[in-house]
Amino acid sequence: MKYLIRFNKSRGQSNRGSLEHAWLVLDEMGNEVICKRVIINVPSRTFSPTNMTPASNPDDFSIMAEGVAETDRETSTVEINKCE
Amino acid sequence: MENEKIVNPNLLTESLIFPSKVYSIEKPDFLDTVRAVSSKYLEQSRQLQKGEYMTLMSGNYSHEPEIAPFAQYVSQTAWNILQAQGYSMDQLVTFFSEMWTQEHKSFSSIDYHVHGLGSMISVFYFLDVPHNGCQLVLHDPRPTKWMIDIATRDPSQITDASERVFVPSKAGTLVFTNSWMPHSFTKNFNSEPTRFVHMNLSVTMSPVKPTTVEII
Repeated sequence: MKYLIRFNKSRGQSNRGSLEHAWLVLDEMGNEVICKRVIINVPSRTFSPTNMTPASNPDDFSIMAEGVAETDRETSTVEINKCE
Repeated sequence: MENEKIVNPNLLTESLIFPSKVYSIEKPDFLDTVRAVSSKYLEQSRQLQKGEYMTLMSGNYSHEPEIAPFAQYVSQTAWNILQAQGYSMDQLVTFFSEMWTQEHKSFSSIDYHVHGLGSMISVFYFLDVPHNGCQLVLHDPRPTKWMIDIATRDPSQITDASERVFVPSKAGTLVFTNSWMPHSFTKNFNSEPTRFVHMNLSVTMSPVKPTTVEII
């Protein structure tokens, strides 16, 4: 699964987590997880939408990583690891 | 007998499979803006050079706002090409993994190579093409063919037997091909440099609007 990891620009707002929920992780199916920490243990790269087609929100710069995401609710962490 | 089609029973049915396509278009309208950004980035690389050089590569500049219309055109065209070739593109977007300028002085050339690491479409935009400058060469991508190839009757003609094809270009020519197409550049036999923008585009899933949001 490919994931886009972005800064949560709406943190602190209704249903967008606390001010500490600074990160969001979006998967290919459209599922979004808002969390405080992200650990990426796979090769990753920047993903700039400014020249992407079809056009999307030009402010949504992301890190793209491919692997398997595991969530730890106790520490509010999403960790992306290699597919086994 | 009227409207009856006469079929030659000795005619072989010919089907074109696994074609290799190259697409080109003249786009001189982008030259001024792309040259301006390209020059800025080449100058940055020049400052880092120690002593003389034959080949100069700039850094990546696909994000520069001045060339956004150019980048958008290239990216959209790459998407259109993949769609037209039969790939399932509805859920995918194209994006630049690389966009940089190459400056080749006298006798500089580029060896045979392909672009991996997720590239799907490779693009060339020619900025400065002196007479007898570097020429883009596309090579037959089928290794099993060139393992058993024999000489062609007329190498100046593009035929099913061709091993390589020289792609004519001038300032403003934009060339697209699949990234699996091996390519190289001939030596620059002019005292003036050849300059072109080289781009590689990858695909990834279209950023979708979140359907579920979980706060952990």
